[in-house]
Amino acid sequence: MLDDIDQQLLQSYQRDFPLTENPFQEIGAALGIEEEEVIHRYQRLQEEGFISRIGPLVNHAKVGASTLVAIAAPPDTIETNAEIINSYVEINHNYLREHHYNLWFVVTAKDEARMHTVISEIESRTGCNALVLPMVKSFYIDLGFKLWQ
Amino acid sequence: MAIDSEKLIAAMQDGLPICPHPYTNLAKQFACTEQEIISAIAELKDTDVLNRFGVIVKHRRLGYNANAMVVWNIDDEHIERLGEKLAAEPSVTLCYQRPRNLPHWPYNLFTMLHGKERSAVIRILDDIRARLSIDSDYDVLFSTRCFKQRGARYF
Repeated sequence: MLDDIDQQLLQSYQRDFPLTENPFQEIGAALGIEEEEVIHRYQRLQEEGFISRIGPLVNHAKVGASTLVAIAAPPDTIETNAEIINSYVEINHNYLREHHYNLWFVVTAKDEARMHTVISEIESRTGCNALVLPMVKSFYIDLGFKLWQ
Repeated sequence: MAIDSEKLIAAMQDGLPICPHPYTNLAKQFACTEQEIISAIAELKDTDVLNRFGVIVKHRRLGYNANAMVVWNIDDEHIERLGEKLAAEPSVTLCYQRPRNLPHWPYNLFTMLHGKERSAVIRILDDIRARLSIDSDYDVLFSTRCFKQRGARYF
């Protein structure tokens, strides 16, 4: 179970993680607990799968080349096609969704040329035409995910 | 010497170690001080190369199991206004304009909605459509399986 301290560790430091040499000490001071306990709790939250990491969330528009892509995979090919897609290091998200276009993935590469190579290879290996949907504009400002009201 | 921002981002892709001095290894790797690493990260935030720097939660693990990509076919003349309004909704995470791809794909605005169950997501969506008076065509694509989810590898 997550107590109040766990909830604050998850909620409050998605965006304003202290940029100091001892960030966990500063968080501890803010929450009234020892640095050691902050570290122990974050390690546990990571082990138990509540956090993936503490680090940067990169703005796709400013670094490298990326796009959302969808294919309409025939139902009996979903597993094998998902494996083909996942085999590329350039894929960081790959979801099955309820729609005619059922496999949705994000390609992120060092440049446009590599991004298009990956998409072409996936098209030829899966036999599916790719719907390529690059971001035109972001209206969203990422403040982290509001977990508790 | 300036720290190469691409190399710094690459070095942080798996996250910081959770220990008293999480920047020590990066300082060694880049042959600089911890404070210089910290300043470089602050600069990447200030220049919008990073959307944010901090704890990246797995919301599915926290019970948010109903995750819908809601796509809209918004008249081009209204997309700025509605894009900004949808982005400001507390339940909306991500709000991007993307190109239509006719005749296969008529939708040009993409939002993500999360809830603990599907009915909650649909209630939120109906409420948003009513309050913002959006009568455009839309579609709801619930995710049923995650084959891969991790931080991007750029380099």
